[in-house]
Amino acid sequence: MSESKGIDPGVVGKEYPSYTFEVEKGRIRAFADAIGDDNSLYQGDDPIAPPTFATCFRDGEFTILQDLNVDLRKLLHGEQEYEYHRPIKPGDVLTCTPRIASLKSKETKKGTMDFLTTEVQITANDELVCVARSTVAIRH
Amino acid sequence: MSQISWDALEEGTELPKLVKPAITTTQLVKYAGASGDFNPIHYDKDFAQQAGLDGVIAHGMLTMAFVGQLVTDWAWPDHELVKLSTRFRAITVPGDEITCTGKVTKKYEEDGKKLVNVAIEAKNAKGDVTATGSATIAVS
Repeated sequence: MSESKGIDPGVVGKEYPSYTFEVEKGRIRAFADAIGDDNSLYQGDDPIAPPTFATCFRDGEFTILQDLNVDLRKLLHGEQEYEYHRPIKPGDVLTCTPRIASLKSKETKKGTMDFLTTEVQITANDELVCVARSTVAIRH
Repeated sequence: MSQISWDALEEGTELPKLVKPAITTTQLVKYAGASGDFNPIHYDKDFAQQAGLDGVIAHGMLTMAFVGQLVTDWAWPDHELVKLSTRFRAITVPGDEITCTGKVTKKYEEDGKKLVNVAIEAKNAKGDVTATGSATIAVS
């Protein structure tokens, strides 16, 4: 019997409740400032958001990690992917729908690792804005 | 300002490189606040050490923000960012100076769009590759 406390593969495909995120100008500015990007597109009265601003709506991913009882000390962000359908801008009320997209176990030098991919569909008024896919590596 | 001309683009065309100032712990705290990623591994040294690290580490997504800036400095606002992905290769810590470089790997037309794929590398001052990425841009 394996003593592995890996994640049950049955969770793949599981959807989690949608949540909304309202995009504010000040948050875009704070984000651009934190990443040290002084592009004028992120300033002024009519800004757009930097491409990785979509990380601000990652709550669903943390909900999933919590639901799966993942210890944050055993987790590393492995890969992130965004598909963009249009830029994100202030006033957008985004609906984010998270799901577990895939789960793979791999033997590594450091023991068994689970690679968990979550996908969040981000829409505004039923129009697709962005799809975010995140893969984390979890040590058993 | 966009420097892209479809006719002049070819495989191997290099993007202007992006050299970021050294990451500071203050920046990680600002990034945690702006992004909403409050994993203590990024600002709490004791927590980071319990996780087996020497100290706090930068958010992978901060590195991806630099990867994004390399691409948007080149392509925005005239051209459309279709896809951005990043694979995190090595830990980044306060004090690291990250440089991003990119070059065109493919130029093609699909569904009436003129597209280029770009391969990106983020390196620290020692020359270690901390992340690799790719982007797809629709050229106007």
